Amino acid sequence: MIVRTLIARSSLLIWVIAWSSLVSSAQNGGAEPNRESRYPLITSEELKRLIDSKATQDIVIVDTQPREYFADAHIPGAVNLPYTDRIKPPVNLPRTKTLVLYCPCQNEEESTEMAIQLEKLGYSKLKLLRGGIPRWRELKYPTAKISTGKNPSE
Amino acid sequence: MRRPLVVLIGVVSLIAFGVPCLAGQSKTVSGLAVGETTPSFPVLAVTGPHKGKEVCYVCEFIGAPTIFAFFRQTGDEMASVVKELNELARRNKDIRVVAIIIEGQESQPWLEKFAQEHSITIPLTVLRNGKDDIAMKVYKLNANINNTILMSVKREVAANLVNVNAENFKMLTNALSKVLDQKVE
Repeated sequence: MIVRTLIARSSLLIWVIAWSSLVSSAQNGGAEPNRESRYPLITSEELKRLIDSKATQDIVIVDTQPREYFADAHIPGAVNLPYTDRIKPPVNLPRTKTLVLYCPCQNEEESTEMAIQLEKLGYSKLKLLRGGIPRWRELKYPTAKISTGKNPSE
Repeated sequence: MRRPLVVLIGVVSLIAFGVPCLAGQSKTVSGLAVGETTPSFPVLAVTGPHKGKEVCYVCEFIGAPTIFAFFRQTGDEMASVVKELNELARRNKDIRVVAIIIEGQESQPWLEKFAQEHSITIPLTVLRNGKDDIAMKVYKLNANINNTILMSVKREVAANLVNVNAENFKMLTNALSKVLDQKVE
């Protein structure tokens, strides 16, 4: 009897856990829910909230698009550090703030590679924007334009 | 006395101006040069798993051997090369192939029909802003050329071919064999 009750309760618990993970993935705006990432991920929705509430003083948004694409459209407030397979120091980015990197990739491939390089250069506070700029655009969030790209590596 | 001088000036002018012009005519230039890094660029997927979405295939394929085939426009010539590329991709599972149509979004219905009728499985994509797209500048593409085929390995251009057609397609497979250091059929 006790065993049967235990089995029934644990099955119920499993269902509750499975259901809540489903709900949380749905709330994630359709983005791939539990994709593994080497660095912590931040969603477009979370980043937008930070920008809207002017709570970005502890972060630097880093755009890894080629300069021309950055000039055409980037997340407001972002700085441009175009993708390269070898970042040449000095990198003009603060080490005390969290760097939120994003790329034009759906699965953060480029921003991950850039984060790995930055980590080797001593940056420890690194986050990646889940889904990159395509997800940001999908949500129809605003982008900014400039005539010449700010490049922190220069 | 004056005649030899005129002849001499003529010969010198021909060497100075004529030869470079002829050489220029035979070498059509378009696309990133061998050794350059392939920057990420978004395209609009018309077919394939990302249909209707903005995709960066440079990112998606990471360092895998990839063929980026840029076509000026849709049509018979483009169709024959895409069919060859599709067959190449089917036979060589290690390589990735993506076709990008420069003429832009108006070519979408044609591409969808073409892919369906000919069972094309390689992704067919378009540049969102046609020949005004940023990719044209970033990839140094010449909008007047029928096609520019770039092969890249580990995000570095390993071969650059222009004006490929069904008749000279062998030059593409030869270049690919050289790039991969293995026979490609």
